[in-house]
Amino acid sequence: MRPVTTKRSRTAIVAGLLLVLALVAGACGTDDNSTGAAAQSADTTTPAGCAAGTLTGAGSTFVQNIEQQWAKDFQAACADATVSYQGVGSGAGIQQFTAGTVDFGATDAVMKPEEEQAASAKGGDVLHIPWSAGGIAVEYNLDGVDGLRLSPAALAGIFAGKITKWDDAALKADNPGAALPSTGIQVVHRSDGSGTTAALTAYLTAVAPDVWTAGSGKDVPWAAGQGAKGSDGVTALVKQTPGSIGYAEVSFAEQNGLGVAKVKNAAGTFVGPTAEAVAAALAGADVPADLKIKPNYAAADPAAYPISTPTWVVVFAKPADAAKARLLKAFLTYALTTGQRDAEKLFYAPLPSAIADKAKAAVESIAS
Amino acid sequence: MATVALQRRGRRRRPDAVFRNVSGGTAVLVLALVVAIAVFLVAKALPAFRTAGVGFFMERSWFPDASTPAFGVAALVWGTVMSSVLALAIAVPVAIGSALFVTELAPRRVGTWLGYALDLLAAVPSVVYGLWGVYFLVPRMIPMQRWLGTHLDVVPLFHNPDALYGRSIFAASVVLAIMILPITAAILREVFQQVPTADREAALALGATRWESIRMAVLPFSRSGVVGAVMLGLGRALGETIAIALVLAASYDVTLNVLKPGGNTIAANIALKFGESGALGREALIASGLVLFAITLVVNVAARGVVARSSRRRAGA
Repeated sequence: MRPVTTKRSRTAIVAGLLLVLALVAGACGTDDNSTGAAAQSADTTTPAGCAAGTLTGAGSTFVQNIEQQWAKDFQAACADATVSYQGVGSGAGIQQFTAGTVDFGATDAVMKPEEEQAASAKGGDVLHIPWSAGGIAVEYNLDGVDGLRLSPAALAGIFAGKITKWDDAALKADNPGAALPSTGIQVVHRSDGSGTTAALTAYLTAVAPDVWTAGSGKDVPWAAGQGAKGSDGVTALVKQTPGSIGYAEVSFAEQNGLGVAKVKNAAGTFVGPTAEAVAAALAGADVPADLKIKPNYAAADPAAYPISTPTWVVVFAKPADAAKARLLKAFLTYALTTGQRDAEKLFYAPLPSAIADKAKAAVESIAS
Repeated sequence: MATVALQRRGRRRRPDAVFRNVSGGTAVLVLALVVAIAVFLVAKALPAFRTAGVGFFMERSWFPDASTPAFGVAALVWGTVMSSVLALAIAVPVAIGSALFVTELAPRRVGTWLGYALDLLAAVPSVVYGLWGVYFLVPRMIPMQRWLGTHLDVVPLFHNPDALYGRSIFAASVVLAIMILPITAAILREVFQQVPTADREAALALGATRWESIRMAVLPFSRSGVVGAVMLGLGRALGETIAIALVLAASYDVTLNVLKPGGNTIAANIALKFGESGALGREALIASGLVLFAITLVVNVAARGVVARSSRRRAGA
């Protein structure tokens, strides 16, 4: 008897939640019609135009917000096209792409050689195409301190657990005149594997190798602090905990009204993670022929925000299905042209034109 | 008479056979499912076992995709067992108390409504418990954890030298306890209702108080049922995933100190790491799933043993 009631009330709750979701989605839908229409008029100028069919992708959660905006606008412009994307994580995206269950994968880190070999064995050559970029914000919760300034060594020291008080000499040197309290620093990091962690730790490893010794990767052995799940979890914990510091994509810090630190770049200026600063950092990066861009933490541009990362879409150079290939080219061309205008309002950075041009050429090279 | 009965039996034999085959088929299906899961887990986990060797059970950290892979379930098993046992320690007394109140003491109307309220708790999806824990309960539990750490410092469980409080095994256990409370209490209610009224009345007629009748008539009769209810709660606690993944600070400690932020469980670690895992990472996570499967199996077998022993003892008495 009881399990039945339980199941029934659970069904009722699920149905209720679905209803709420449907209403919310409906409300969002009406809201976005204007941007859709704008994209439609702009899209007539894109050379590739529309193609029909269904495209599925999976991967990076980092790129999810802007990807879904692109998909929505692209579908509004091209009535016969459907683009669906699941933010399952870069690793799972690569796996699904390799298994052939999705048409494109999205990843914040280039595929490892063995991953690329596995995919090539299945579907031929793999292309990495950068399609967006973003900064990793260092967010903090400290009353009375606006615009905290951090040198690479201080940042590494905090996350390595070597700088434990807010009034440490290193922080005082970076922030002359700021009212730094003598309280402890509570570090917050990701508890799940994450491209955001990879971008931050790659930066720390590059700029302060003698302070940051935990290596780089999607998950590292943290010496300090508490973990939280997802950028939303990290941001929530920072918000809850006075004296804490964490890292997340810029959008999370901005939307929660947290303090965002300015980080000292190679030119010696303290810069916050604005769209222009991220674009400036990428403009200084090496762009090899395979488009596996390596961040240049020593970029000379004084406007560059150093903890910036591109994010890639991975596709086969010769997709098995020609119709799918045409749709893929149309969608990626849209993302790399009109779509780049969405970047700033969604807290991403538009690709610098040098990178965008090479990315467009790579899209053109897809056989269809 | 005899021929009529025989005829009837003949007519009934066909539905009997159909029923026997259908129910037999479902039984085989269930068994096949268990075997299929075990085979899948073992097959997928083998590469990870081969890479890690015995270290899989000794190593605490979890970095299977590092350039030199290092991963093992020691800390995960510890965290799983600690959080589940602690959750049981919190939830079971409350569940027994509330079930006894509903069945033995409360006026019928009050008992019914209390039962509905508990069932409602069981219907809340676990992700909601997790979010509630992260955003509401855990921040509000910090003063309580600090009190335990300061005043009950002599208890090894609450010896927290860092004096840092937050997303600890203890906090996760409280969330878990709330999650397993409804199912445990609901089953206990059913169990206590099975006690023959005659037993209770006999105890009362002998001059026993309410408490004595509960102790002498209700509890002994219900022993195996209570064990069953507790084991169901334990099963849910061991496997709980998303609420723990949200609440725990995820570190790879093996420590008695349940107030230290950190700790991790097998199920939560799978939820946290799967999305960004490479090939070996996924295999390692599946291998950890196999360990959880084995733990659950051991718990179930042990529970059956306890039930069988207590019912034998009853039969002997």
